Amino acid sequence: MTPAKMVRGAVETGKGAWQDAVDRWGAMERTARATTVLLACMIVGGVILRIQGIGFPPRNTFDEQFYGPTAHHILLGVPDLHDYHPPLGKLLGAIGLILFGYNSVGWRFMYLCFGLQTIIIAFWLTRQLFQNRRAAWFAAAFVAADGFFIAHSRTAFIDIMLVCLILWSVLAVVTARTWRGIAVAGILIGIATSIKWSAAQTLVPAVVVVLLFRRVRWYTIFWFGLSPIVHILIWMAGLHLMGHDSDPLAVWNVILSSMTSLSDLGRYDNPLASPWYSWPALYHPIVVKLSSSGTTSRYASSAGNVVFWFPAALLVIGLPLARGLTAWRASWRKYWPAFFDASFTKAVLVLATGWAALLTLFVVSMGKHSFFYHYLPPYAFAIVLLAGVTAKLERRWPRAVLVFVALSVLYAIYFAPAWGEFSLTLKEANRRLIFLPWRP
Amino acid sequence: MPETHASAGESPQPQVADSPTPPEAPPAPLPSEPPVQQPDVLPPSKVTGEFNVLCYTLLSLFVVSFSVWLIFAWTGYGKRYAPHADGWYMGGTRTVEVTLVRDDAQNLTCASDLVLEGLHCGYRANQEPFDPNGTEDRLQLRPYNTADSVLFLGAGLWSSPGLSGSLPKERFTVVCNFRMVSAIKSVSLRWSPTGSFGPVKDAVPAGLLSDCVIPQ
Repeated sequence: MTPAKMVRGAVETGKGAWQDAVDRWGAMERTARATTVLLACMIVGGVILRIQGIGFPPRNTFDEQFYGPTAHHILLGVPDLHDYHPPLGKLLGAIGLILFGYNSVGWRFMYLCFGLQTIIIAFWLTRQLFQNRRAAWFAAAFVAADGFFIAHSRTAFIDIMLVCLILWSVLAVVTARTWRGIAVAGILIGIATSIKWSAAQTLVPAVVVVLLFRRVRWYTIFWFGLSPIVHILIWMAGLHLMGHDSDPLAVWNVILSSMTSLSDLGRYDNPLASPWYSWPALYHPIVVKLSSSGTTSRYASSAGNVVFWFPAALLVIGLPLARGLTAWRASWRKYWPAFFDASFTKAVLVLATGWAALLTLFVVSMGKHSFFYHYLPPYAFAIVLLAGVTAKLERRWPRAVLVFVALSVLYAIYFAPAWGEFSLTLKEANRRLIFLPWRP
Repeated sequence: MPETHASAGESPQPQVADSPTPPEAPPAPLPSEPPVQQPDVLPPSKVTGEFNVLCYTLLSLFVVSFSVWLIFAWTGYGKRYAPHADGWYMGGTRTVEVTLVRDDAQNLTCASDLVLEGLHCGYRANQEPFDPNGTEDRLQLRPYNTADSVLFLGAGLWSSPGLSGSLPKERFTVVCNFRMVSAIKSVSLRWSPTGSFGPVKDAVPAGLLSDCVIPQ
C-alpha cells in the first residue's frame, strides 16, 4: 500500500464517519441531541481537566515519591526497590522521564496517557459488552467526568494504569472468538498483574465471560495460564534493569519479601486507610495531590461524581440481587425478562462479578492497609454497568436521562476545581469537600 | 492447538441487545416529517478478526501518548517545569550552599563500590580505602547537607580554586555549583574520622562541585 493510498483511505474513512455522525444526529430527537451535546462536553471537559496544569506542583506529592524517583533510578541503573509493587508501573512511568526529563511533567506523563486511554477502553468495553454504541458514549463520558478517574490521571500513581489494563484485559476476553484472543487476554492480565498483584483477580470475570458468552470453547481458559508466565518475565526484566539479580529464584525471593512487607503493613494504623465497605458509600476519598501557596491551595480530590457514584453502586449490587430474587419464585420469574434480555443479563453478571472479584482481596485480607484508591478498578466495572443501564433507560425515558446527565454535568462543573487542582481558598475548598473525611 | 469455533447452535457473533421485534412495514414518512430515530443498536458485527478492537485500542494508546507529547513538546511544558525540580535531576546544575568547618575535609567521607563518571567514595563498601594511595579530592565524593537540609554527595569542593587560600577557623559557608551526575542508594556515610559508617535510607544525588566560593 502506497502512502497516497493510505492517506486517501484515511480521508475516506473520515468522510464516512462524519457522514454517519451527521445521519445519526439528523435522526435524533431533540432530547437525545441535548444529551449528546452534554456527553460531548463531558468528554472534552474531562480531557482538558486531566491535561491542564499537570506539572503542578513541581515536586512529588503523596505516594508519588514511590514511583517518580524509582522510575528515575531505573533509568540511571541505580539499584532501587523502593516500594512493594511489581515493576511494570515504574518501567512504563520511566518513558515519561525519557521524553521530558526528571521533572513533574516527566514523571506524570505516562499516568496521564493511561488516564486518557481509560476513557477509550471504557468506550470499547461497553460497546462490546452491551453491543450498543450509545451506551459506549455514556461510559466514555461518565469516566471522563468523574473525579476519581480525573484525580488519578493527574497523579503519578500506578492505580490508573492498573484500572486501564484491567478493563483492557476484560475487553480482550469479550472480543475473543478463538483461543488466540484468550491468549492475548491472558497476556494482558499478566501485564496488569505486573502493575499491581490485585489485578490477578481479573481472572474471575475473565473466566465468567468465557463460560457465560460461550464464544470460545470452555477449555481455552487454560490460556489464562500465560498470565503468571508474563508476570514473572516482567519481574525478571524489571529486576535486571534495576541492577538486581534477575534469575527466577531471585524473582521469587523478591516477590516473597514484597508480599511479606505488604502483609506487615496491614498491622499498622494509617489515618488515610479505610475499610472496603466504606468505599461504595464514598466515605473517605483521599486528596491525592495537595499543594499550597500563600492563602490558596490546589487539590486533586479522588471523591467521585456523586451523580454516578451512588447509582453505580446501587446497580452493581442491586441488579444481580434482583436477578437472583426473580429466579427464586416461579411467580416472579416474569419480571426480569420484562426489562432485560439474555445478553444484557450476561453483561450485568460479568460486570457485577468483576466489581465483586476486584474487591475480594480487600475483603479477605490487607488488614488496615486498604485505601480508597483500591476501589478504582471495581468502580470502573460499576460505571460501565451504569452506562449500559442509562442507555437502556434512555429509550424509554429520554427526558429523565437528560436530567440525570445534566445533573452530573452541573456537579462536575462545581467540583472540577477540587479535582483539577485549581487555586482555591480554604473556604472554597471546604464548600466542595463538605464532609470532614473528604478533607486532607 | 487448533482454532476453536463457536459450538453448533450458538451464534459466532455476539447477540444483539434488545433487538427490536420486526415491526410492521411503517408508512412512508411525509417529506415534512422529521427523520425517524434509528435504534442505537449495533448491527451484528461483520468483523471476523477478533484483534481489530485490540489493534484499535493499542493504536489509540499510541495516538493519545503521541498527541499529549506533541502538545507538551510544542508548548515547552516539560521545560517550564524542569527548573522547578531545583536542579536535582540527572545532568541538572544548581547552586548549593553548605556550612562547614575546616576539618570537614577529613571528617566527611563515604563508602560504596559505585563509580560515577570517575567519581567515587573514599572507601569501598567493605570499608577498605578505595585507592591505597589516596583519592584526589576532585574525584572523591563526600557527603554534605545543604543549608535547606538536602543530603548530597559532592566531589571537588576542597580542591576548588576559591578555597585554595587559608580557610577560616570558625564555621564558614561555601556556595558552589553542583552538577548532578547520578543518584546513589547503596552508600554508607561517615561524619567524623572516629565515627562509624551508616547506610542511607533513600537515594542521594551525587555529582561534581565547582566554582566554590566563600561569600564575603
